[in-house]
Amino acid sequence: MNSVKKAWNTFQKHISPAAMATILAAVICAMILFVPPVNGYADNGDFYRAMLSNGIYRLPTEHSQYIGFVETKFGILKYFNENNVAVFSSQALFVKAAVLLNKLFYSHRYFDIRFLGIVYYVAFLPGVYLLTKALAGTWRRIRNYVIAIFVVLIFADASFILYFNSFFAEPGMLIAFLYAFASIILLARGCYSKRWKLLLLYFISIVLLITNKQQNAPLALSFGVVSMGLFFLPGLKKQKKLAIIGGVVGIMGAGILTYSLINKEFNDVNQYQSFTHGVLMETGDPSKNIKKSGLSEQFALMREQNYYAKTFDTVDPSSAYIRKHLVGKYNFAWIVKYYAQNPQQFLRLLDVASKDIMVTQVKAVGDYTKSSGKKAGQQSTFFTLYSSLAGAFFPGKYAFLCLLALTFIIVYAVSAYIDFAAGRLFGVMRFFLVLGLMTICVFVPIVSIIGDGDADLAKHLFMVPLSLDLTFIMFISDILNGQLWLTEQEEDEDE
Amino acid sequence: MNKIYLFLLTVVFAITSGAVALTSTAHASEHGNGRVLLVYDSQNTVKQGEKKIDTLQRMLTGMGLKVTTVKESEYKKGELNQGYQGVITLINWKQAGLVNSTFIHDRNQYDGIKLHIGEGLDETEQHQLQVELKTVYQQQLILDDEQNTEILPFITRMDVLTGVPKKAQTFGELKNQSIKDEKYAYGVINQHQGYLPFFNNKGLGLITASKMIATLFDRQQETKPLLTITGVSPYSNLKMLDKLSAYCEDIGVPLAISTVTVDKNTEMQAYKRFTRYLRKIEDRGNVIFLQAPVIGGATKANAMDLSELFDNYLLNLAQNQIYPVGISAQGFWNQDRILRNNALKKASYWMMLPNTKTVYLDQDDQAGVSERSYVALSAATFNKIDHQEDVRFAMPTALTMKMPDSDVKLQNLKEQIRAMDFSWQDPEEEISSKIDFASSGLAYRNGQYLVNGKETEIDMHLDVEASTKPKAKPALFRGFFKVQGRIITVFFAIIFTILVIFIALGRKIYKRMFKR
Repeated sequence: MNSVKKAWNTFQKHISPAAMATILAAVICAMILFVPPVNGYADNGDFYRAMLSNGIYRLPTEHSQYIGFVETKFGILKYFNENNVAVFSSQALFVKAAVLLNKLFYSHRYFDIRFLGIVYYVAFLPGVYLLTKALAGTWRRIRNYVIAIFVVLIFADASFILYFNSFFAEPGMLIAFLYAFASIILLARGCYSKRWKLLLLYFISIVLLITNKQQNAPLALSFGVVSMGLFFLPGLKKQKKLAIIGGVVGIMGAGILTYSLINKEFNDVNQYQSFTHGVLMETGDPSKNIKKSGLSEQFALMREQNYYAKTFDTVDPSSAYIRKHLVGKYNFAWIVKYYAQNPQQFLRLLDVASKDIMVTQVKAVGDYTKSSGKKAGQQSTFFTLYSSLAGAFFPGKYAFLCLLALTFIIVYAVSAYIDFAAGRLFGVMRFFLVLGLMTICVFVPIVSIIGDGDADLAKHLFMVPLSLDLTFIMFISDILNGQLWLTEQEEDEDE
Repeated sequence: MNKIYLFLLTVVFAITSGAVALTSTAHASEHGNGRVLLVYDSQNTVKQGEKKIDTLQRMLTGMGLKVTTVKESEYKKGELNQGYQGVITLINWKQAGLVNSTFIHDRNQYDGIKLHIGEGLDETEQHQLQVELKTVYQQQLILDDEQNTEILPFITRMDVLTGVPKKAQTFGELKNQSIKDEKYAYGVINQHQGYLPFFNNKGLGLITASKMIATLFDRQQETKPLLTITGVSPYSNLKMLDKLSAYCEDIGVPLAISTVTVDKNTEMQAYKRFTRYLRKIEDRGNVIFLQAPVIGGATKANAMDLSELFDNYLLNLAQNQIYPVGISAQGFWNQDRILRNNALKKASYWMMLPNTKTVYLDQDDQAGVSERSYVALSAATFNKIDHQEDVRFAMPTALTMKMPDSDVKLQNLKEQIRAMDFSWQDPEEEISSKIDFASSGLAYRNGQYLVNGKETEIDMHLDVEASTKPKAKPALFRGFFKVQGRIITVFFAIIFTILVIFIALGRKIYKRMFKR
């Protein structure tokens, strides 16, 4: 018994909860990404956005490179890249870094997706470290190690990590979010004496996150709410306050910039699908409803049609006729008005959006390479405990999501009030953080439905499970640390 | 003895005539099997040369010729000897010229039908045609064919023939606008050889060229054009379509409609409305061609999906008493193995529309043929033909007009139709088609629709509104999950209320602690 205690003490002495979480995450992620059979996500048709503008192209193969299997080898354009940037995205930073590494250590002609995996992997681990440190604090009690294990279970879950070996933009969002979240909590805890470093990390992460994907543009508002907490930092001089204001303006600017850089084609796609996958869905026969709203009832027949047809389509959505008689006749204000007139349908659509909100593993594509000998489209089950449980048991109701959000906000409002009254910082900043995250959970489904209907929901809602996961882990750590209601007690005990 | 001689003589005669018959069959299989090799030099897309290839392919299909298309540079040695009835050399871009000496050699040796279209008629070809070549520069020419004339676009250079032998057949004349005596034959046939100095995919040039090609390949026929409205879809302005077809009925012009349809959402009112209007079209004696869909991300692997898609289209239409008489599709559908076999071949009547956007799944450039294949040509390009009532086409031809989408366009279209004086093809008299799909068959004969062999009347009072929709059987446990969802919501609402009360109470107790 003594020897166990002794071993534990030695372990405790040398390895902090944050270090343990980082080591565990490093091992698990490396097994998923780099140990054969290599895992990742296959292309659903979106990869070209990140590939072409970064000078990467598909090598010819006899089998299809889409959906079924993960492709690890790509070509690197040797000469001038004539492809325009399809999408403005901070993801390019990661891909460019990966191409550079690839050229240094592997080849100038061929690109191995695992180099992108390495770039994300290296960026992800410090995020895990910072997050665990933020949540577990500087203590080294058993419960702090438990928090570390939870962090690994939730964020090193394969459903997230598989993204690393793909050209999807989501890994950038995951990593930037971890940094931003951790830096806010660390600032609130006052762990580091040099606050400007954490502030800088926070703002850079948020800007990278917002500029990562077009649909992240509205998140600028949520992060504006999170940033409000920063104004409660004690002893802020005028210059620093100005700097924070500058940071918040920067976040808003990033949101506006991302929104304004959405190109016409993407707008057309979204506008078309917001009709075919939104307005026409979750209602008996939409013919009459759309006629009432001023469109030809015949367009009801377009229900469930994609802008880019998977196989065949009755008409080309980009044809002059459809542009003139359908797409040109409504806009997002029309859609909002339509849903206002048909609230039941809208609520049903929100329930559709909430149904599989915690299913983070992309089910539409395979996770294995063809050489692994696995079946096309086969899913990896290694280290997916958390995502499987959350996906299976989280109630898929929008009303539940709203109630949960309200509950979290009220719970954290209590400690915020107490801390505000006592002149303490932690509870206040934490409250604004939770408030911001909950606005993401409540509003992202609404924006997704209005903006693109139920098309690509899983990918549009990526930030919702991430926000929920971060809130859950914070809730758990606050309970374990005894800081849920009164943030001061535990600190006193510890001292 | 005499009887024995007579018997032997009969046997010898029978054997000899059999041998002769066999020999002639072999000859026919070599030269009369309708297989044609179309060899082009370049697509010359800058001058829309690919459209000429497309029109020529569709024309040949219309004539019942199985055309295999190959780019001259990709021609392989001996290809021409694989049982073709004829070879057509299409020069789209003289500057590119013929570079494949194997093809030139094989063509020179070939003794089947040979047609050269465009510039670059070489000496061997001239020799075989027994003509001389003359190049004319910078001229404004007029094409004159029987009673019709057409002013051609100003030409910078053109190779025309002189010294055409008297026994040769000529089609149309090219006249110099300013010098009256300067005349050249447009299409020339000398035995198995033919020459066209250019190929126009519209107007009189096309009519004359098609006549010449049909004669060369011994496929002469004289058909009336079929007036066809294209670009109809379930999303079209159906009232406008109805007005148009009513107008055509009033002025006695029979009509064909080429329409796309949907395979899903067919239970919706919008689909019932679409088919109700199509039934009106059928009821007026007009016919419907089912138009092929646009191709999105389909690949070779989607062959079965395509076949099922067409089955669904036809099944849903048939359930609503819409019986297409044929399938219409862009020309490239016939140049693709998967598109041809899984869609076109379901119908005996095709309508080949001009290519607008080509997406191949498995291009083989080996066009098939059908019982009848209409070449769709824009009606507007024949506006300038003077004696339209006398015009007959050398292959089944559909003159197309686009479905209007505004009242002004509808009015224009009506005026255009009224102004046209063609002797239109009457579907009731001249169409006898069938479509086989899944395990069903639709046919149209003498203006009568047959479903699985049984005559069917179009019921204009088909009460589509009353058609009972099968009610979806509620999924197992659906009620349970619904109740579960509500319980959770109520549960959380209660917890939330209790929580607020506790907070309020707790705060009071907390404050009271300090009040002592």
